[in-house]
Amino acid sequence: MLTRSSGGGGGPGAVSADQRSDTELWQLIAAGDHQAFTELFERHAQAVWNHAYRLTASWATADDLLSVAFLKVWRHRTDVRLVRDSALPWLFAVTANVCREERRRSGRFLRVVPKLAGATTTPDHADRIAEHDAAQQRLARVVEAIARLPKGEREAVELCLIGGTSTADAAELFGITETSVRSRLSRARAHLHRITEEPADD
Amino acid sequence: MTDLFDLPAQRELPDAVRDRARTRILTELRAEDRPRRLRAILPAAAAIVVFAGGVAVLKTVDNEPDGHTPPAQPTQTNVVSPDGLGAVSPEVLDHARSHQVPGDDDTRCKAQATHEPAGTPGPARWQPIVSTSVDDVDLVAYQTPAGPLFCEVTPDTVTLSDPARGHVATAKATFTTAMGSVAGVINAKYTWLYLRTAGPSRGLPGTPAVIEDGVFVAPNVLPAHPQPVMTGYVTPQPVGTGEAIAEAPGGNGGAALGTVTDRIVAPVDQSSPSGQLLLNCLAHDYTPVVVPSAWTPGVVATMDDHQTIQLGHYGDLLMACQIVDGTTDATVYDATDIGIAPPTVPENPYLASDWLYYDFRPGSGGTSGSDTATFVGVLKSDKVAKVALTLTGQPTATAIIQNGTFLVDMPVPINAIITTNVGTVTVSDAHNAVLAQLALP
Repeated sequence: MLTRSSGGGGGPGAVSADQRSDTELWQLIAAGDHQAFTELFERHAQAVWNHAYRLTASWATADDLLSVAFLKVWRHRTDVRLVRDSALPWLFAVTANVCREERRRSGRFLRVVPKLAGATTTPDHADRIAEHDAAQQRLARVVEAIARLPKGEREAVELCLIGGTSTADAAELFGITETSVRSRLSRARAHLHRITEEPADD
Repeated sequence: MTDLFDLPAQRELPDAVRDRARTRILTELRAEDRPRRLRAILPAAAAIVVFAGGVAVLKTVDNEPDGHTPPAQPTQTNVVSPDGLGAVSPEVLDHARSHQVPGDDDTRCKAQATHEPAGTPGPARWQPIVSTSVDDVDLVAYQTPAGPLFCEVTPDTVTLSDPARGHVATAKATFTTAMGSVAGVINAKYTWLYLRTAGPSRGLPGTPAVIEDGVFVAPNVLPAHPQPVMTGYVTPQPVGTGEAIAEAPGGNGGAALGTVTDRIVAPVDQSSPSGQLLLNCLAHDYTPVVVPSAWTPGVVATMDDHQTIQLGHYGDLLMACQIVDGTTDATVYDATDIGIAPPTVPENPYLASDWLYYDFRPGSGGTSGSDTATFVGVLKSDKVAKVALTLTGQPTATAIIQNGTFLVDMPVPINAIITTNVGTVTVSDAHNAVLAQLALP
């Protein structure tokens, strides 16, 4: 069974006819099947990672939050809502939550193993390269502005405008009408343009 | 005009990032399947490995028999700490044993009971609440009819408190020592208590203490004679809203009665330049180090014009010290903690090892980072004459061995460490017979 992918029918997350669908995997995952969960990870890791980057404007943060997001999904595996046989919208929603939690914790670090660790942190190689990247800088402004939106607008932006999820799928995930999703996105765009001091396009 | 959501193109997920994430996920999934020691209900990370979400965890009582008992089996991250980060529980980090005291510690503590103030119940009425141990500093809590009292034991000293009397509404540190241990009494509403030194916290709550039956203990947690800043967490509560506890040390009994040297630990020759460098390193560890005069200087390696690594050991403790342009950064590792931090090699009778990161470079916000490590460790057997490291696809590098420590003088990039199938460590004897081949995970 073919499922919707994150970037088009043949992109990351697409399932060939002989692979198990997200729904089939999730029936196993809900029962605690590690192998099924690993298969889901392999299928959607790239999409989740890119989504985490777009929500944080940091590749290093996205690297760290990739496993965080999947582990959070695992721990709430019985609460998962699949949308049109795809786990990706749910994964994106969880990733957005994880990124928000990371923002709240930014600057805080729990020194859990102070006497055992080699005091290691990996430097932001990717971020140093990208620090002069104008697109990355603009993304950072966008991320900052999104964080200031009201909750409903922020969630719609994260899922639809950042994550590329359709308004229909977002409506199903949020449990609201598609009209409401579109309305939130419209208001969000206007707010964001004001916040970022760019004139609205529409 | 550029659309606000003209987002950067999606990138291909690097194999190294995918592999590392997969490894972290599977490690946690497998840890959930293992039997483990657990804590009371919690609301809510390095450090190293970070997790999100809230998980309720229940406590089980350890009913091991008295007498010599092996250290509690460490597990990987098995609790979620108050700010939502996954953490190795303080019980695991501090090798806590409920209602038990190692026989030797019990004997040594009770032998000092004659120093207790008049009216203190005799040692026959001391009931163990919990015992803990970090880097050969043991900290024991006893319950007595007059209140809890604490005993710190090192290889050569014993420090005893008198009973801590009275009810406490929050928490009070009643016992602090020259070895940086802190203990006291705590209200039952708290399930986590963090300790740190005074000064800017930079958002860090500190190091968690072991809490049991109305007391908290944290062996060798802070610099000598600490005046700890305490933060307590009550369940349930929102993430990140710890309660600052303003109780000052002392004032309610439990003062340290003075440290008694009841054992002699033979000093070693530290007159060499390496020995003097080691002594300097030992003095720079964040917390006091046991018996500095008994540490044996090990490998000293000049990594480049700016930095030198000095190793040393005392028993199962390894000192790994980096001197960079005159600045000393020292850390003590316990070779018996192989199950707490993800091990570099499987447990074996020949060596304990770790990756020692060096060549730190400044990052943002006052942080620094390193992506280069060297392979270091301590030998556990006199049979070992050679340690060789073979990274996948690389020529074999032989370690320098000196006085029970070893170091592979070869920089290893972090990308080679965090991938799977990193390589092997070959341990050989003086006749080049292979004692063990250990796979690096």
